[in-house]
Amino acid sequence: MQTGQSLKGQIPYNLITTSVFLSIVVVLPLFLLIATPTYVFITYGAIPLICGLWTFLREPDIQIKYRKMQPLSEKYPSLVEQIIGLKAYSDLRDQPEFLYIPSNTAEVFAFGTWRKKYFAISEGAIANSKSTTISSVITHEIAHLRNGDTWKTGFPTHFLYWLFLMSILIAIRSFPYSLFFKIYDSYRADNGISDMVVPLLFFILGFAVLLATRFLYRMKEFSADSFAQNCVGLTEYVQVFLPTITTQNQSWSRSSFESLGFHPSKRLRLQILQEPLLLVNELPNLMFIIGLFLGYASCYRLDLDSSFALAVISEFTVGVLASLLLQIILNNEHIEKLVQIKILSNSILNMANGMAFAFIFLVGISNLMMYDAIIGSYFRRGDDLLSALFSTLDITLLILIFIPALILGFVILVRPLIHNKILGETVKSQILFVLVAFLPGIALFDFYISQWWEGIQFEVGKFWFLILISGIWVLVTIVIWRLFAFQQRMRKKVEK
Amino acid sequence: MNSQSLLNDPSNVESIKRICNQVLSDIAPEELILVDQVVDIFVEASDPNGNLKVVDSSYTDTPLGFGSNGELYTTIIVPIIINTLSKILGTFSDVSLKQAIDIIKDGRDKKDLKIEIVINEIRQEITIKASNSRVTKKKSKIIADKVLRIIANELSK
Repeated sequence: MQTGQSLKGQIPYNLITTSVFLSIVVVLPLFLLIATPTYVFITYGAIPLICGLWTFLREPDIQIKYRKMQPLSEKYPSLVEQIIGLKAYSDLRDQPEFLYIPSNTAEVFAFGTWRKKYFAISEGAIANSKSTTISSVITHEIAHLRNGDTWKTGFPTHFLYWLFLMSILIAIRSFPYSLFFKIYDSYRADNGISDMVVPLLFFILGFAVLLATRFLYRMKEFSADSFAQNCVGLTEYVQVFLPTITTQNQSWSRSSFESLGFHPSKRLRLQILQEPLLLVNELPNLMFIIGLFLGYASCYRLDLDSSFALAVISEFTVGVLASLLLQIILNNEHIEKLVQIKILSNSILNMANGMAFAFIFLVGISNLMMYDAIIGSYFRRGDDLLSALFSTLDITLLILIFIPALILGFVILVRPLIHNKILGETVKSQILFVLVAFLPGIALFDFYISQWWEGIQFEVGKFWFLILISGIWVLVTIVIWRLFAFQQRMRKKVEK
Repeated sequence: MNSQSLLNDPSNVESIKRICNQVLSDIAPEELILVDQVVDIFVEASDPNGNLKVVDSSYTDTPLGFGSNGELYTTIIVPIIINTLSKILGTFSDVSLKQAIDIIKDGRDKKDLKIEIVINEIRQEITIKASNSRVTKKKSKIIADKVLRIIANELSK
């Protein structure tokens, strides 16, 4: 078996991360452009891509402004000199701007775009870390800058946010049409479709992108760890994982949401630092994503009724193949190869699982619709140039006018609730509340405008009914929120 | 005996390091590289009343930053071992300590039910402390048994 040291140089981290990055931001929109009509490409490819690019490019300025970052050289000139003196820094092609964060939380991170890169460190990190530990962490961050991780993960993350946002918005738009106002009854009767299926379809695509982005995040950490370890040595580098002592209890939100984080765990990072071969354990994750994309792509060109059969066949074939391989190995008593074979068969099986997941999801909703029907029904205006233009305008209007107007409305609405601390004390909690409680309101607004836009007379009774439903939902959300807050308080009391 | 008086003696600290290394070599061998340093951190952090301060992660897990996702087993196990050791040494006298070690090593001792009850309480305490969102109850029970057995082996030397 190869030693960890000799294998380290051979892991093509950059090739892997660049390939996954390209598959998210290039291949996926390209697939939408080729395999689906223009509307779908515009809604789920072009708009998330453009908006994602825009928010990604704007993010550094916003971070700097709202986190009140200042030049590090003004506060800690010696630290800047220490960073510049690092061997890893001297090899860096595009030199970053050093920033200081006035916060007691320990934070060190690299961020930025293709054009401009930044390196930020907080007061908490400077105050609570040893000089050698700081050097190791900075070397790790320099590795992110060298590998282009700031854009390789930053851009797909923003693309992902917008992809989900578009799916949610379209789902909300379709909701009143689908369930309350059977405006397109005749169309539905002809094709047996439901308006909600398109956003549902794209949720699964979003899920694939989410997994791929998570994989990117994990790989970039392993890669940066490996680089920093080569620069400072294993014994020195592992010091960064040592705990610090604090008298405060961990907050509930932090410990609960840690498991949802994209970073690999400390334990796994330590494992891979000491035995890089274990990185192959990540292969099944990648294969599941590939399977999901393959399943999704092939379903678009296949008769959906046969998808279930395909799912079963793919699982069965791969299952038989994997067990046959295992059988051969076991018979030949090559026990030492068992681990590798297990990972390989796991990877193949995971790819089949991904494909099957996509197939089964599509089969489930194929009972509600037919492929051509959903596309035609998407904007319910047929499939010609004029309707393409019309739907583009509709979506643009939705993003540029309705959403800002709704956000403004939300702010006016929720200000008294925030003031009276009804929505919880943290900004995260308030934003979450607004999203959960007021999203049905988006449907109402959009429905109202769409009715008028399309020249269809809407029924006042049904309109008020929806307002009533939304109002009840807001009240229910407030009650749930208060119950959660109560539960959290009780939990803290018990902990104390 | 409280943790502070236990940790004042360097030979006890060495015993704790040995116990931790043995426990973690089975549970999380990848963390062995850090065990001695984590024990030292706890020794420095214990206050005069013998309380061990809570250990937190070093860096916040921001998407682009140097994330510290999850807790090391070492930071869970080390305080458990220190507390358990100080409790065993503080509860049992020389004679009963020998019996306690036998009970831990060989199982039930019909002669002294009281000692067995105390050991079961200690075992229960370790199980509760070891279980969190990532360590299941079943696993924490295994950890508790392992910790007690290794401590008993160390004390019998």
